[in-house]
Amino acid sequence: MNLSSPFAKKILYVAAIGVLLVPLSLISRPTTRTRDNAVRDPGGLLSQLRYQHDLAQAKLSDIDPTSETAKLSTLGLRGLAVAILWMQAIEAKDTENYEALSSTVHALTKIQPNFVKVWEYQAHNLTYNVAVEFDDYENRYEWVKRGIQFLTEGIPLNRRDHRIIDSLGAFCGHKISNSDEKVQYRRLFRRDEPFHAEMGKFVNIDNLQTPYGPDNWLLAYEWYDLSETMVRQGVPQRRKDILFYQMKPAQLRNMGLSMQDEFRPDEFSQTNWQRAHQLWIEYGDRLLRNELGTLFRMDATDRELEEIESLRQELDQLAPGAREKILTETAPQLQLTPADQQLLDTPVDQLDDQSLMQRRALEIRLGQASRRLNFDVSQQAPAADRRRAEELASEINQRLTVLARGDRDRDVVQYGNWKDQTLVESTDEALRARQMEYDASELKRRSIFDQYEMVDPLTGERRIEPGALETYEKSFAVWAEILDQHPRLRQGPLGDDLMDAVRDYYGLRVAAGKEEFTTDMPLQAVVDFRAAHGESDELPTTEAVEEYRGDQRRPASQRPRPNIDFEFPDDAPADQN
Amino acid sequence: MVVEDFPNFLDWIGPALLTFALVVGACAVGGICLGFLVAAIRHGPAEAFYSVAGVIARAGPDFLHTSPRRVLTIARLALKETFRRRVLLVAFSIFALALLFGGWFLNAQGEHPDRIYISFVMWGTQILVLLLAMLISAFSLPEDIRNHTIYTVVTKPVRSTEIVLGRILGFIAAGTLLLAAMGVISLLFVWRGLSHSHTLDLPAPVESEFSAVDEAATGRRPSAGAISEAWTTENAGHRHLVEIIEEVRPRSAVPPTEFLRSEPRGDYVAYYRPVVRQVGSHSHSVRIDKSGDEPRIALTSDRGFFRARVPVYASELVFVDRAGEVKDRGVSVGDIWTYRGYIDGGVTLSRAEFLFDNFTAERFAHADVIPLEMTLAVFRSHTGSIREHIKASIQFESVPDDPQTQPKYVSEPMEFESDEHQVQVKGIERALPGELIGPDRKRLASGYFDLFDDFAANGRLKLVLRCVDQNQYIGVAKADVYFRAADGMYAWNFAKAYFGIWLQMAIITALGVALSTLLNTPVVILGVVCAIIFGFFSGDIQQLVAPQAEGGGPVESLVRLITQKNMQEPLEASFFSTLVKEADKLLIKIPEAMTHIVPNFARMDFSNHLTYGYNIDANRWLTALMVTISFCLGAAVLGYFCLRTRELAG
Repeated sequence: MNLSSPFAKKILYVAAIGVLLVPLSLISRPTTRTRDNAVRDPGGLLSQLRYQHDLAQAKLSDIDPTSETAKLSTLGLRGLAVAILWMQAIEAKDTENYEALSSTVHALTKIQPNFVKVWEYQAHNLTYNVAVEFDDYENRYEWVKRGIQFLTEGIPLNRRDHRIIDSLGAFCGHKISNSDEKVQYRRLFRRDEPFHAEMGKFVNIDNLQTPYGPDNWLLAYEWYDLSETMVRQGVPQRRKDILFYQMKPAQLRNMGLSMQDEFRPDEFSQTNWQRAHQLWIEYGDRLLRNELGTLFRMDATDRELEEIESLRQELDQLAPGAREKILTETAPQLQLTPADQQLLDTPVDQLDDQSLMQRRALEIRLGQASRRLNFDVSQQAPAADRRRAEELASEINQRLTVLARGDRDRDVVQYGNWKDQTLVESTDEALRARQMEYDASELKRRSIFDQYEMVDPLTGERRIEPGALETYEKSFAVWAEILDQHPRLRQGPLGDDLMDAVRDYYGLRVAAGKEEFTTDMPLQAVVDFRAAHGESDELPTTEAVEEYRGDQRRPASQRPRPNIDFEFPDDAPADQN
Repeated sequence: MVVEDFPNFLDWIGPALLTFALVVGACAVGGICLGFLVAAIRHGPAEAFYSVAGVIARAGPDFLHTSPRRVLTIARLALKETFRRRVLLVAFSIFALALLFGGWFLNAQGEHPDRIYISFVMWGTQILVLLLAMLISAFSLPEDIRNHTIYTVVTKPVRSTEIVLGRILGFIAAGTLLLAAMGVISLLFVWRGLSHSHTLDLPAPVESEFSAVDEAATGRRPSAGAISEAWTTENAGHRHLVEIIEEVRPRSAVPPTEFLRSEPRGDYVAYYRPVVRQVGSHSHSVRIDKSGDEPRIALTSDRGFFRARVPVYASELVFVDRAGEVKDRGVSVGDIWTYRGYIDGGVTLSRAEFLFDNFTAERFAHADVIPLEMTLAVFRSHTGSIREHIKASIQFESVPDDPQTQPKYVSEPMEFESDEHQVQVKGIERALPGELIGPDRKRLASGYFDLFDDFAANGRLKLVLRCVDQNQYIGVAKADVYFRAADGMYAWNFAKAYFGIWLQMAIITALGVALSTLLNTPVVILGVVCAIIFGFFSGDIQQLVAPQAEGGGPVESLVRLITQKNMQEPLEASFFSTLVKEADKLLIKIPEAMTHIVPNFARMDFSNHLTYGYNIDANRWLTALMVTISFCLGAAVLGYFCLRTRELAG
C-alpha cells in the first residue's frame, strides 16, 4: 500500500487519533469512590489537577450530564454563549419577565457551573430583587424560596467552596426574618413542609424544630455549621475569621430576638439564649486571625492586659526606676495638660469636628510616646540585660498593637455587647421581664390600659389583674435592676429595644388619659444616661420632664407658645367651607 | 402579555401596497441601470443597450408564460432532491432527540411551566427549520451548476422563472413537511409535559380532614369566605391550596353546581364548596362524590394551560394626571422599561382611560356576563399594609357622539384588589348600576343600565381605571386591560404560531434560492445568515445606529477605544472629529438600509401569543403573510434575472 495515497493518510490519521486517545483517557480518568465514600481510584493526573484547582467536576458522581452537554454544544464558544445569556437575563429582569429570567439563569449555570459568583449573584437577584417586584407577599415568599432552591443546585457542583453555603445561611436567615414581611415569611416558613423536606437533602431538619414549628434562623445556623464543617475538612476558607466564626452564634441570637416579639418568652427561649451565650463564649475563646494575619481572641482582653502588665514589670525590673525617671524628666510629651485630659474624658459624640481631630492627634502622640517609652526604658537596662530588655519592649509594643486592633474587631461584631446580652437574656429575671413586656403589649393590643377584674370561668373567683401600664412598669423595674448590673447594655441593642418599649408606654399613658411623661418611670435613669451619651431616642430626660410638668402646672396663658413660624396674614381669605 | 403593536390589516394593506408599488418601480429602474452599467463595462454601451433590452424583452414572456405545471414539476424534483439528501431526516432526528432529552434542560418548576415548554419547542423548531431552509436552498443550485447537472434541466423547455419558482416552492414544501411533523410532536410534547393531576394530601379526601383557616399560624391570607383549607399532593413541581368557601345566596337563587353541603339561614342558604387556588395560569376543577357518608373531594386534571383567549383591546389609552391634564404617558416610577405608565392613587384626578370602539353584544355572543381581564403593575411609594394588595377601581362611561348636547351614562366605580403579575378576571354584568348625567352635569336618572344597549349604544365605551390607595401607584399599558370575547381552539392557535415560523422559513428559502443563482454556497450562507441577523435584530440594530446613540458609530467608537475616552464625553471639535462623524453617518446607513430590506422577523414570531395563551388574530398573520409573499416574489424576480446572467439557459 502506498503510504502517500489519500486513503492511507486517512487510515494513519485515524490510527494516530486512536493512539492519542488512550493516554488522554488515562490522564482524564475521573475519581471514583466506593459506597462508603472511600476513594477507589484517585483518577488521572488531569482530573486530579482539575480537582486541586477547582476547575471542573473531577468525580464521576459530580458530573452533571446536562451541564457537560451544554458546555460541549457551545463548540468552544462558551464565553460568547455566557455573554448572550447574561444579556438575556438582564433584559428579562428589566422587562419583568421573571419566568424567563429564572430559566435563563439556570441555563447560565449549566455552562458556568463552577463560577460561584454566578450562583451567588443570580440567586441574590431572584431572592432579593425579583421577590420585591411582587405585591403579594406569598408570591414574594415563593421567589425568595426559588433563589434559595437555585443556590442549592450549585452545592454539588462546588464542593470545594463554602461561599454558596454561606449565602444560603444569609438568605434563609436574614432574608426571611429581617424583611418588611418577616412576620408573614416566618409563619409561611414554619408550615412549609415541602421546603423543609427539600432543605433536608442538605441539612438535618430535625435540628430546626422549636415548640412553634421549624425556625428559619435554625436553618441558617445549620447552613453555617455545614460551612464550618467544610472548612474543617480542608475546603479553603474564603471569609475573614472574625465574620466567618460569628455566624453560628449570631443565628441563635437572632432567633432569640425574633421569637421574643412573636411568642410569650418561655423555657425554650431561655434555653436558646443559654445556647447562644455558650456559642458566643466559644467564639470569644477561639484563636482568630485578623486582617494583618495576627492571631487574637475576642474574649482575651483582660488576660492580654495582665500578660502585658507582667511583661512590663519584667522590663522595669531589668531597668529599675527608669520608667519613672523618663516619665518625669525626659518624656514631657506624656504629661497631659488639663485641656488634654478633658479632651480624652469627653465622649466622642459630644466633640465637634475640630476637637475630634485634636483628640485623634493626641491619641496618636500618646500611642507613639508609649511605644517609645518602653523602648527607652529597655535602653536604660544594664548592658548584660539589654538584649532581653529590648525583646521585652518589642513584645509589649507588638501586643499593644494587637490589642488595639482587636478592639476594633470586637466593635465590628459588638462582641462584648452580645456576650452580655445573651447572658442577661438567659437569666430568670430577664425571662420574667420579657414575659411582662409581652403581656403588656398583648394588653395594649386589647386596649386594657389599667387594672381590670378577671372572673375565673370555672371557679367564679374574681381577681384584679394589672393593665398594660402597670405591667410595663413592672417589666421596666426588673430591667432597671438588670441594667444596673450590666451597665454596658444600656447603650447596645438591648437599650434600643427597651427605649422602643418606653415609647410604647408613654403612648399608652396618653391613650389612658394620664399625664404623658413621668420621672417615676423605672428606666428614666437609662433614658438620661443614653441622652447624655448622645443617643437620640426622642424621649424626655428627667430635666425635660420636670420642665414639662412645671409648664403643665402653669395657667395656659403663661405656658410657652409652640414654636410655629407660619402665621396667617391679616388679609387671608375666609375659609370657603 | 406585552403587546406593542396592534396591526389592522385593512388599514395597513392600502398604504402597504402603494409602498410596494413604489419599491417595485424603484427596484426596476435601479435594476435596469445596474444591469446596463455591468453590461456596458463588459460589452460597451451600445451592446449593453441591446443586451439589457433583450433581457427585458424576454422577461415579459417568461413571466407571462410561466407554466404552473412545469413549476410543480421542478418543485417535485427539488423535493425529491431534499429527500435524497436526507437532511429532513437529520433535522427531524435532532429535534426528536432534543425533545426526548429536553426535560434535562427545562426548568419548569415555576408557576408558568407552560411558558417554558412552549418557548422551548418554538425556539428549537425555529432554529432547526431556518437552518434547514438555509442549507437546502444554498447548496442546491450551486451544486447543480458545479456538477453540470443543471444542464439536464435547462436544456429542457423550461423557463428561468420556472426553475427559480420551482426550487423555491419545492424547498418550501420540504420545510413545510418538516415543520408539520415538528408541530405535531411539539404539541404532543407540550401536552404530555403539562398534563398532571393532584389528590388531596389528607388521610381521606373529605371536609372533616381539612384544617380550619388560621392566618396567624400559616401566614397565608385566606380567600374571602374561606373556613378551612388543605393542600394537594405535589406534582409537576407545585401543589395547590384547596379552600372550603362559605357562600351565602338567597334561597331563590340558583345553587352552585358543586357543593359539599348547605345550611339554611332564613331567606338565605349558605353553601360550602371546595375551591382550588390557581398556581400561575392553571388550576383544577373539583369533583364531589356524595355517594358515601361524607362527600369525597377529587380534583380533575389541569385547566388553564391550553387556552387561546380572544381579546378585545381598547383602540386608545390616555392617561390623566393628578391635575386632570390629559397625557400620552403615565407617571414614571423610575423603571428602565417604559412599557407601562403609572397612575397615582388617592384623592386625585389621576386615572387611565381605555376607549373601546365597535363594542357590541355580537362580539361577545350576547353573553350576560362579560369577562374583563387585567394585568396590572403596582408600585408602592411606601410599604403600607403588607397583608393587603393595592386597591384599584374601574368605572364605565358612555362616549356620546356630541358631549355638548347628549347625556352620558356613568357606572358606579367597582373597587377591587390588584394582583400584580397575574391575569385578573372580573365578570362584568351587562346590567350595571349607574347614573345618566346630562351635559350640564345634572343627574337625569339612576338605576341599572345595559352595558351594550345604554353605555355602548353607539359602539363606543370608556373604561376608567383608578388607583384607590393614597400615594400608591398602579401601572398599566394598552394591552393590559381587555374584554375576553371568546376562547379560540388551542391546537389551531398552535398551528398559527407555527405558521409564523413557516413564513420565516419561506423568506429564508426564497432568499437562499435567489442568491444561489448568482453566488457560490459559502457566500449564499453568509448572505442568508446576515439576513437572519438583520431580520431578527432589526429593532436592536436600528437602535444601535440611531444618530443619538452614545459613543457614535463604528469609526468614532474605534477612536474612543484607542484614545480611551468614555462614551459620554463629546469628541473635541476639530476637522478630524468632523471627518469621523461624517464617516460614521455614511457607514451606519448600510446596516440601517439592510434592516429595511429584510423583513422584520419579530413581526412573524407569534410565539408570545401562544406562550401567554392569546389567540393570534387574523390581522397579525395576514399582515405577515402579505409581507412574506411580497418578499418571496421579489426574491424570485431577483433570482430570475441573476440566473439569466449565468447564460445557462437560452
